[in-house]
Amino acid sequence: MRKKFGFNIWRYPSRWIFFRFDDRLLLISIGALVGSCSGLAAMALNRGLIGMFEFLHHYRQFWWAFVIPGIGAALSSLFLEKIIKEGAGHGVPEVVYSVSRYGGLMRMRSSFSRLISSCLTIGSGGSAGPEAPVVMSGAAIGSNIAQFFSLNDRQRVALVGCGAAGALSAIFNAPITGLVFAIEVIIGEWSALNIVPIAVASVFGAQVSRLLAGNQIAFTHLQFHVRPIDTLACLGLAVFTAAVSILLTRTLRVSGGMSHQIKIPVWLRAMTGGCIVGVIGFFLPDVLGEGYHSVQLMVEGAFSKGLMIVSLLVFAKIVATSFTLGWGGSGGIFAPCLVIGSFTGLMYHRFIEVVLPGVSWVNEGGFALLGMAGLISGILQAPLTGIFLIIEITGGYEVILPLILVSAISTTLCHAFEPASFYFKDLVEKGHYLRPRTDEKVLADLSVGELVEKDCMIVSKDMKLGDFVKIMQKSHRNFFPVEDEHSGEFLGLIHLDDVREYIFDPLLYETVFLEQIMNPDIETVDLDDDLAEVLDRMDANHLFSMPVIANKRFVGMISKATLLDKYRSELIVQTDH
Amino acid sequence: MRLKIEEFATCLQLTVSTVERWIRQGRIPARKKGLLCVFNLLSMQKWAEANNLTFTPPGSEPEKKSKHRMDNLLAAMKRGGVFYDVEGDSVETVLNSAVSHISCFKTKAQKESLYESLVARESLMSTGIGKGVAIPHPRTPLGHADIPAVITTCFLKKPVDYNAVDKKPVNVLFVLVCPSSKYHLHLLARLSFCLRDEDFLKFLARTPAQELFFKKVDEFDSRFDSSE
Repeated sequence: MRKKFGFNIWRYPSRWIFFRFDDRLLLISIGALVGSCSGLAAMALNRGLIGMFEFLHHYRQFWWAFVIPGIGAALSSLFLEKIIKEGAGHGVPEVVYSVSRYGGLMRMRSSFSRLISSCLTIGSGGSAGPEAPVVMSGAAIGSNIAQFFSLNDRQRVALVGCGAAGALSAIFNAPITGLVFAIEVIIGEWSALNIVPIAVASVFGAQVSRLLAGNQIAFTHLQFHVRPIDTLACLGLAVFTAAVSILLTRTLRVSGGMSHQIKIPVWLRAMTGGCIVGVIGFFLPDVLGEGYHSVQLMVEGAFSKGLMIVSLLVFAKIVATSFTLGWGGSGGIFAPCLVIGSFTGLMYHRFIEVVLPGVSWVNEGGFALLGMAGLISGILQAPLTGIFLIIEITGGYEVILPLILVSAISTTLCHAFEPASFYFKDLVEKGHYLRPRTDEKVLADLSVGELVEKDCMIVSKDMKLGDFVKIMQKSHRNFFPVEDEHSGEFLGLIHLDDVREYIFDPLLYETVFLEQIMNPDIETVDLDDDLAEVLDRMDANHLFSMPVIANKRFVGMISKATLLDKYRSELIVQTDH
Repeated sequence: MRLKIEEFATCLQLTVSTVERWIRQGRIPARKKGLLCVFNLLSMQKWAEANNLTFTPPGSEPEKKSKHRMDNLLAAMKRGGVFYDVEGDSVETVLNSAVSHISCFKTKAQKESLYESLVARESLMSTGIGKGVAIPHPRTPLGHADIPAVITTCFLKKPVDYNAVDKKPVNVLFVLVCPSSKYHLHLLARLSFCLRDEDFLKFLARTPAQELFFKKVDEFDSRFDSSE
């Protein structure tokens, strides 16, 4: 043991005297490592996509080009299903799920699986983005580095956030967005303990990206001169983006539900979805792939198509995205949101130009930019991520005032119609959405086994009432579990109230057996039961305590009084830092 | 400092599973090494205080229980003493002469306050519980913390009309004075255990000598303990 410990001390950095005093330094150093690694992963996907695009570029002109997205989606789905054995999807809910339930524990293979599958999907033309896959990869890299160094859950969660932040800041060259996204969406808790390492990881991720790809702003644009009238017009734009966000969320759900009703192999399903996208792309090539080229054109104000085409593009992109993601392709929602958002902004600009022809508005690029912010904020219901992302990827600080307005209003409106954001809807429905410092989290962490009180006096079913009265005098509890003497099986429960009317009649002492008094139909709890459900059952049946049964044997009682006690200490411990 | 995980959990008054989970989740400044918990005592105590918990390291004095053990009937009776041919022909006069015998109450003021509270209790409702026995006692503890619980047994010279529940005259008094209500109930339960017994009542009617009486009480004390 000592020998092993001596050789492997470098794998237990939390035991180094340097770090033992406080783990902040440890987290910052490992966070920097995680940020760099996930930055590299993001750049790898970026290069892969460019390579795929160049490789497939020559084939796009053929009439059969519409099957390319189909083949890409099918390959990606086969890869995930057969080789990696993971479900399709974009990955962010998976990361949040692991952070909520398992302290950020993730599999090693998750760190590259989404890179390959999304490269196949998007590179071949599927309408999806590379951001969520790199976020998942980065998170998995953070989690595995934490496991390698044997860190605890809290530190691992911070490193998962570091990975996500590093990846996002690398792919967009946007360090603040990485930081804000990791805190707002992935971790959900603003505390200095998380923010500092994640900020460092963001810096390292962005630095890696700048070293490899140069420090460039993703979407350059002209100078915007925003006047109060533009800010006012943004209120209308926010309503538009909110409506489109809700439409996108619902279309994604409907299309996902539809695809699950068709009983064909997943790869065939993905292929069908991909081919439909290919057909749409044949007529409207702007919907294919991540779509950043169109975004660039729109932000520059160089997108020439008119109101009708742009409106059609909004819906075509929504449909294409739903068929890509809902039918088994692999990729994120970020890039489609940016594209749909800029289409929406442009559509709104064209629309107000027609309605109010005399007013001179800010350049249409400005509206495209605001539309992106509105859609990201609406879909993610994360206004800060929306604001910082758009500021950083466009460098358009001069639109900050309308930008904040659009983000805030769009988020609020979407929240009214879709209480849970696109990322968390499934998690909320399954009860897996557990944010730190919430009731759900505390209840999920506590287990029935930790709350069991074992000081009940067990009685046998053949005991006479007279003997029971003596036992009652000694017990401190009001409940008496009844067991079968031979098998040890739990038969029922006697509450003090059940015997109150008999115990003052000595005549019954020798004639009544406990079997006749006990309550055989008792709500019982299993050791593995979910505490929130147990509480619901207690409330529904107006109970204050319930017996815990394992293998038909009585283990102890679980009561609301003890629960409050433990709940409180758990809450204090969880919120202390 | 190193402790077994079970001991460590006991120090915090938590279950082992809670402690293990907290260590895994990194909520507690301790780490596991095999079956041991490794931690720094000072930071552990600081953490416990900040989190509304207590950390009592093993070997440190467990908190002394404030309530000392309560005596049984015999000890209280021996302190109170047994007196024969106690004078008096009414409730007040009988109580007055009984109080004069209680040696624990030394000053005149103490005796007077005891007498007054006994009379006040009798005027509320007679303590004559029937079959010739009365248990005079103050309604609330007198507040002399230094005076231990006493039961003074008085065999009366002649039966007195005590307004008892069964209207029969009383010939034995058990004056019961306790420092606390809890103590009072504790002794009263034991006394009533004796007085429920027909043999004990017959034994009392014979006005037994002090040694015989204490022997009988001791016998009942142990009977009470074994039934409990």
